[in-house]
Amino acid sequence: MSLLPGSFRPEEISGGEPAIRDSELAEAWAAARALEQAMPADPMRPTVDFADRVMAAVAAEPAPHAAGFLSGLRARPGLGGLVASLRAAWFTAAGGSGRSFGVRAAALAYVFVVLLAAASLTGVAALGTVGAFGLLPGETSPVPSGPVASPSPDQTDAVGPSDSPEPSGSPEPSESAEPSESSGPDDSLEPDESSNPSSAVPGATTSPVGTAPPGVGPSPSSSDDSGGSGSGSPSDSPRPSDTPKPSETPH
Amino acid sequence: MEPSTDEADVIRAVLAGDRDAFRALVDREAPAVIRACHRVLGDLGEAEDVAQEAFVTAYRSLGSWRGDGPFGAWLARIAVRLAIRQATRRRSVSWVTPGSDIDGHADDTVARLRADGSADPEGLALRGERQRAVRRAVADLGEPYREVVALRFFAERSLDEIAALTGRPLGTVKTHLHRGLLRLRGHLSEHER
Repeated sequence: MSLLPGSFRPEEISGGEPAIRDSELAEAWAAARALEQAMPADPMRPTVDFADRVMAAVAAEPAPHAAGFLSGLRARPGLGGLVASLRAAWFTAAGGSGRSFGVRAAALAYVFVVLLAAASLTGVAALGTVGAFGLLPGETSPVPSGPVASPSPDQTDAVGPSDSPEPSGSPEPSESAEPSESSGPDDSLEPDESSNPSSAVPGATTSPVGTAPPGVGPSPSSSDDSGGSGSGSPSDSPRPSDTPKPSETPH
Repeated sequence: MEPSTDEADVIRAVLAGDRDAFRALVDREAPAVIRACHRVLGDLGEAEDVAQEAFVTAYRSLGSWRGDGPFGAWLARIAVRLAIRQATRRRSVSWVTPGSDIDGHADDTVARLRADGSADPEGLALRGERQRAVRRAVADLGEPYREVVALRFFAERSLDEIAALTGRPLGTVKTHLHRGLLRLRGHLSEHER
């Protein structure tokens, strides 16, 4: 809907962001009426020589530029237009006498943005080319990732407790390899268990699930697979001898 | 709201170097521009000076005209800005001369009404004072309310055109006009007290 000028109508300002109350609308209307009444009613006619004076003043001005520095890009979309607009922007920014600071700053910003984009594209293209030929130094990085097999000693350690059914087995290195056990919520519930080195076996301290018969517990292979990360689960490597009775658990 | 074809042709000709083509725009837009400036300033001579400056400014920056609205609306915005600036500057340095109005500036509204002879002098004086108060209240509005109010009431531009000119959404322009009128009402009430 086009709002034509003329006498002010309250509908002009209705539909703005906040809903307007009737009292505010009445005040706005009163102000508009005061404005309209204060304006001279008779039409203003310019003096006879007004256009001549304007044209004389215009004659002293330099010819207006065809358009802004983007005119080349508008006229010729493409690389040629981009280069032309870049050149025009540079001349506007560097030697644009008579131009406002804002126009010169915008032209300079345009030059920088285009140059930055060009440099970025060139860099990405170069990296892509080098990478395609396999010349990037980072491509050797998969080699160190091979010996990840180093956790294998841990695996054997982890296998240790579950393999040996005896509680007399000396503390295995797997204790330190599984620090997440000490932070488990059940640790605080079983202080005696944790103070005993033999009972510090993870499966003993962690869970009442250990009350399940050994055969129900996870197989050694499952603890092997889980390694260090899965040792926090309650079903890991239960030890029959260390398993506390649920009734002994202090609350 | 799009510029007319002949308007665009004229501007294209001016940009191509045909300086005289600008006269067609001056002839067509001069009455509206002078009227808007006169409503801000209240003096015909001063309004013509500011209107001339507005035309020269428009000619100088014709290349930056985006063409997304009528040339007249773009020109009116330049003229209203210059007129408000002139009104503000005029009040900061004022000379009181015998026979002039309170602002120290000859307000031709009262003079022309007086020449008409159809009203009593006291009524004319009151009306002239009222007009000055309204102009002063508009000039005292803060931006962006002042520009929207001036473009709507002094330059007689539609809210659609103002939205296109200022690059603001139509709802925002409506809100600015509403708040501007409320503030204007407050200024006028203070003046009446």
